[in-house]
Order: sequence, then structure tokens, then C-alpha cells
Amino acid sequence: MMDKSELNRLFQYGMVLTDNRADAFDLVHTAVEKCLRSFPDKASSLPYLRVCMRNQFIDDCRRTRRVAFESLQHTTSLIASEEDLEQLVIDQNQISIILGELSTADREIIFLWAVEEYTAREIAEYLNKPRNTILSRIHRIRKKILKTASQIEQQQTCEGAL
Amino acid sequence: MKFKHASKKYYQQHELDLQQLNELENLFCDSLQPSNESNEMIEDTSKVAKISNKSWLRSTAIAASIMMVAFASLFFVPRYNQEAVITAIAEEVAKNHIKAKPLDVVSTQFSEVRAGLKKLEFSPIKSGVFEQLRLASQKGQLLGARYCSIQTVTAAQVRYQDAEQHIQTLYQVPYDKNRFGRLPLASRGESPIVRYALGLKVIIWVEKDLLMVATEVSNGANGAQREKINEGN
Repeated sequence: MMDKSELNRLFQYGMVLTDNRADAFDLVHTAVEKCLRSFPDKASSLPYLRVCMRNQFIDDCRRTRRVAFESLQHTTSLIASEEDLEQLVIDQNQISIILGELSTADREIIFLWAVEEYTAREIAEYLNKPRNTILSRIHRIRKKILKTASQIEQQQTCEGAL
Repeated sequence: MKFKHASKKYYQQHELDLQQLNELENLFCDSLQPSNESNEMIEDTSKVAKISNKSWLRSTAIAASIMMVAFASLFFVPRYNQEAVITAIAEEVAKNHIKAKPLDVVSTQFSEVRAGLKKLEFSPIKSGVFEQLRLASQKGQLLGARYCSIQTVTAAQVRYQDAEQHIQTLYQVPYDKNRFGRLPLASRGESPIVRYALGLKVIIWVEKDLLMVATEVSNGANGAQREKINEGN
């Protein structure tokens, strides 16, 4: 049996993947239902249910031919560390815009790092990718965040000048 | 504000509403029972939690708490609105019809479908009213069934395909007048309720103490023919 807080954590993960309340709930419902039916002993495991939700989301994307996750295989020579994200400071009011500019894969990494407090190694193990791939991804995410934050500030400056 | 803290705050503001929470908790309640199977360890990384045994006493206490909350919520439910319930049912089944989630039981034999849906608290029936509807629209074949829910009550979703490859679904769930309101009874020859949701035709009636909800692609010609049959009931 899961308590309200655990169910909400699953729902928040669903929101990261789908960015839609109804779809996020469907993902949670399907994962819990399937798990209770096939592996009832695992039905209270947050990590297991998150994997079920992720797999279901990928299946749904394939069915509708949506590209949800860009390839994580591409690595650059610029590899960040988790501290690069830890040091990042933004205006709280900009957070929804900044997160909205990120891809599903990027949002997933941010969620696992910020909300579930996974390390880069743990994220890599969860996504079954090399740690360096995740660090490279973190570097690109940081660049996107800084770029978006800068664009928002420029826009606000222009609006203020008018 | 640190980006990490801002992100955490942003995502944690998303929460399930009461109905969604109840629906998920009902899934667990339905499956709660003493288990003689041994527990399995999840073979994962250090962040994965171990599965622990849930005592029967704790499960019973949780189920009792949920029932108390559900009972208490009856006193805070707004005045009953028949049309709102019908609309909610129509929208819910239309959405499920469109999603077309995988079947739990795949068979062209209704007896096998009925036998396969072991976790239902009722026995699905071959609906005479639905068979008449199908005859009117070129009878096709049974594909199978899956578990679903109508207004948080566990239901059976039986899926058919007509001769034109259109999917028809028939939902069956125990009829609770207090929950679903006064709906037309096939045994009294009352005409089913017809609604349209998400481009689908939704037909609602009660047969042999089961609430029946049929969904199909809205088709003007066939629709008029079926409504003639209903008027004759």
C-alpha cells in the first residue's frame, strides 16, 4: 500500500514525462494496476513503479509516433559535474518557463536530481546509461537554462524600456 | 533561489486531487489480502527500497481508515445531479474507448472472457440490448476484455470489432442507484440514454442489475436505425 505522499511523487514524475495532469494520472494508474496484477509484492516500490511508468510512456510515444527522448548516446568533450547545477541560481518566477523549454529527457534528469535527489551515478544506473553521458547531458541542460534565463531577462528589459 | 530548490518546489506543487487519490487507493484496497507467497528482493541500485512484509493488521487498519474517509465524504458531497453523473460516465468511457489500452483477456469466446476476468466482483453477461445494437450495425466479432473502472468502481471493458473494423466497447459494472442515479432499466422496456462525447456515441442502460455503457463511432445512419430499435423496446 502506498501513502498519499508516495502516490504524489509518482504523479509528479508523470507530470515530468507528460506535462499533462490527465496523462500523468493515467501513467500512474496503469503502472499501479499492472504491478498489482503481475507483481503485487513490488507494488509499493517507488523506483519499480517509476520504471513501469517510464516504459509505458515510451510505449505510448511509439504508438503515437512522438519523439519523447532524444538519444542520450551523443557525448561532447565538455562534461559537467553535478556541482555545476548545484551552484545555479535563478529567479523563482522564471522556473516554469525554464523547465518548459527543456525536453522530456532533460526534465526527467532534473526531476531525478532535484526532487528524488539522485546523484549522477544513480541517474545513470536508472536510465541504464554511462555516467559520462549523464554528465554531458547535465552540461547541456545548464547551458540551456542559462540561455533561457538570459532571454527572459532581455525580454523583461525591453518591456521595461517601452 | 538555487535552481535545485526552485525545481523541487515547482514539481512538488503538482498533487493528485481527491478523486484521483481515492481511485488509486481503491486499486490497492482491491488487491489487499493475506499472501502466502514469499517476498522478492528488487535487484537494483542503492536508491531502490527493499520490499518489506505488510502485516494483515496494518492492511486492515488502512482499509478501515479509507472506508471511514469515504463514508465521511458522503456528507460533503453536493446535492445529487443526475445529468452531471451521466455526463461524467459518458466522458470517462469515451476517453477509455479512444485510449484503446491493451486487453487483459484476448478471446472471441465470451465464456473465456468471463472466466479470464477473475478479479471482478460480478459476472459479466452477454447483453441482449447490446447484441441488438450490434446486429443493427453489421455484427462483427468479440476481441476480448480488460479491467477498467467507471466512477472509481472496478468494471469490465469488453471490446468488439464490427464488420467495418470499427471498435465498439461495452462497459459493465454493478449498478448502484445511489452512485449512478436512476437509469433506464432494460427489464421495463425503458429506452437507453444516448449521449455524445469526444466524437463517440455513448449509450447507457441497466440490465440484470449491471450498469451497461456502450461506446462506438458516431454514425448518423446507423445511429438512427439503432434508436428505432430502442424505441421498440
